[in-house]
Amino acid sequence: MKTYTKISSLQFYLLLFLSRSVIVFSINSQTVGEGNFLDNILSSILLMVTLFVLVFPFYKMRKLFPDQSLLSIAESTLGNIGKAVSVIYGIFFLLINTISLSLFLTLIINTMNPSASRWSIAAVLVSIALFGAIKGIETITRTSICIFFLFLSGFILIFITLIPHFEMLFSEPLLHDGTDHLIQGYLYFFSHCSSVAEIAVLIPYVRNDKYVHFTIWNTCVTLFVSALLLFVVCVLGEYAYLQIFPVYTLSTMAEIAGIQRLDALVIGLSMTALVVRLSCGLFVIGECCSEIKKIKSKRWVISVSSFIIFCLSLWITGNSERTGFLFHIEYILPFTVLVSAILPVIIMTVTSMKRRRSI
Amino acid sequence: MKRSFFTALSSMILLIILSGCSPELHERLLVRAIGVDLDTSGWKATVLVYEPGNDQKEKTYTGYGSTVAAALEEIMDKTGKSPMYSHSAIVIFGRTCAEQGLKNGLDFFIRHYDSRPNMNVFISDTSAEEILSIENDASAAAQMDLTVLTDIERYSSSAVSADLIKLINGTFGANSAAILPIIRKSEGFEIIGSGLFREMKLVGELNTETSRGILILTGKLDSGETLLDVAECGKISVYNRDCLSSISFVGTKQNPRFEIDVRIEGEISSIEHSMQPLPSQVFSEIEYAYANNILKIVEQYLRTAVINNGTDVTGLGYTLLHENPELWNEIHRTIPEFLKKSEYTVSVNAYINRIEEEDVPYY
Repeated sequence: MKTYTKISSLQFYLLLFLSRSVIVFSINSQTVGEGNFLDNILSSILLMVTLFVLVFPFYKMRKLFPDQSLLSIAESTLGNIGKAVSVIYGIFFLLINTISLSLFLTLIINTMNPSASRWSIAAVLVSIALFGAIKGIETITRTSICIFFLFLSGFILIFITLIPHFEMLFSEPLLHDGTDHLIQGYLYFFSHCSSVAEIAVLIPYVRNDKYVHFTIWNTCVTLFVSALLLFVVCVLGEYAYLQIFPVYTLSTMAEIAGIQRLDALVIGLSMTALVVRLSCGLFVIGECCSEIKKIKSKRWVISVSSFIIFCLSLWITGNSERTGFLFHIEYILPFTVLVSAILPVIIMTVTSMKRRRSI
Repeated sequence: MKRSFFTALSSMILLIILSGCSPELHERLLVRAIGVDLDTSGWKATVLVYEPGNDQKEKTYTGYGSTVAAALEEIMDKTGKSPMYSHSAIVIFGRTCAEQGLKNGLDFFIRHYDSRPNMNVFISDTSAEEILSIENDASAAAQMDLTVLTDIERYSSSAVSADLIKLINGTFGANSAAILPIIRKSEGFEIIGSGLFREMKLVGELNTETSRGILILTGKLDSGETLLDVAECGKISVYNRDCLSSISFVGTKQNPRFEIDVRIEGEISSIEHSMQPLPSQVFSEIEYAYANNILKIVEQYLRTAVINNGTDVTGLGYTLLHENPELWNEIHRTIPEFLKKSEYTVSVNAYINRIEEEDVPYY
């Protein structure tokens, strides 16, 4: 049986916090519905409930298969079909990492400097992420702890400095324009949420993981996203709906004493959180490949994957029409539903049926 | 070996990314303020820039174009330098531009990556070029104080400040209008009132006294002096310390009515006839006069801006949206007419802090 380098539950969930938080930087009125951003607080609460439901069976399965990921269980239960599951997970992480990196490049080009060198930014980010992924999950999670505290303190500082600009008047009543924005926001958040897939693959690495830890993490991420959306609405008001990256615009408003424009801080925080997400994604791709071929050295697979992510993100952001597709969810949503809901349910059902027969 | 390789790689990356910025400082125009005018030939942009160099003086440049961006581009062509707008704290629109509509002129400032959302917006009493022009050394010295105007609301009760965010929210939000301060250049700079904008067009003006009504209704009157005339004491100057206001909608679609409660707190700055400590019964008279003065200002604002013009920037529309969303859905397209026919009940409670009683010396 494969041996896993154990990481603590805290390390794991801080890693997932950063990985999931990155997505809030890309929300705008086109992606989450051209209505009331406050409705998207409900979207994020709905996602929280969905994750509670989707992840609960993993913890039940863990009691039966304590040191196996969903991919290992799939392979031992479904044989060659199980290997196809690993391929699907690998492709999903390749895609989600490409989208995350492309969105970040779009943010830099659109809001900071249109003449910024995309390839050098992408190269630096992918190189760091690759290094982390090669070093292993322990390195990534240790880094996550440092980045998490920077991330948290940075955002607390930004929130505090924005309080003088906070106007509760700008908030619209919830669901004032119906439930369309709530649903659209939910689908956007869900389509970019790779947490279920990450838990499915990485759970055997976690020591003494309990459902209550997941509950705390899930609640905290939702609170963070909700607070951010509340600030976007109550500080920017209607101006937020005219911006491609309202969270970034929000940070340009932040100032404390003589220090103005804390947007550079937000760019730094989002960049470091993105590195963690990319690194985690690359590591998971390596895990998927090791399930397929039992490759002893995953380094080549991870290196090739990072090169593909680098090239694809440059290709996507090289053209405004392709960049526009980043804000659509039609192509990524089916994939997320497949890896987060359909495949886990099928694998768990088949496994428990086989187990019952064997008993 | 691996450690050495990654150390070398990291050093190379740092060498590339921390090697300095481009273009160089002397190749840039550090824009402090932007003026936008509209005339028959198109858009005229005037920029007040700080040019790093030996003389270290501020200069103005003017460019023309069919759009604001094109006019600014012409300045770049004239100077051969790359403009940096991120330090620009002020944008001033000329009166003609305000009357014809800011929409096309404003888009650049919302869209451009280097523009700041909290950039203060003003209307020039004449043209923006006149405000930003530097004719002589005295004028150049006055320009240094231009950015002080961005904090005008904090230190004076004579003007309502506005930035891009307030302008956009006034135009697209539940308020029926936006407001921009009107600026005039004399020896220095002077705020002479506020312009009311509906759909980005100047539809009315308020003088400084009436503009104060906006600060009262939004609970922001926490500076400046209010002059009162009280029989026993003569002219009394009261410093506006704190203000709270609440607006609620209590009517129906047929009989719309808003109730406005204002609580204002002030301190006596000076009394004309007496240097003696005041007996406590006089305070109630001062408070009565203070409340009456505030009420008069609020009523003047409601009459001039809301009832006559159908424009409001104090949150009457937002109150309706929050308190009666169904009615808001019905009337939001005709909100100016709805505000015009609404009734307004205003009550003001004024308090004078007694701290001066101990401070006044005996003679």
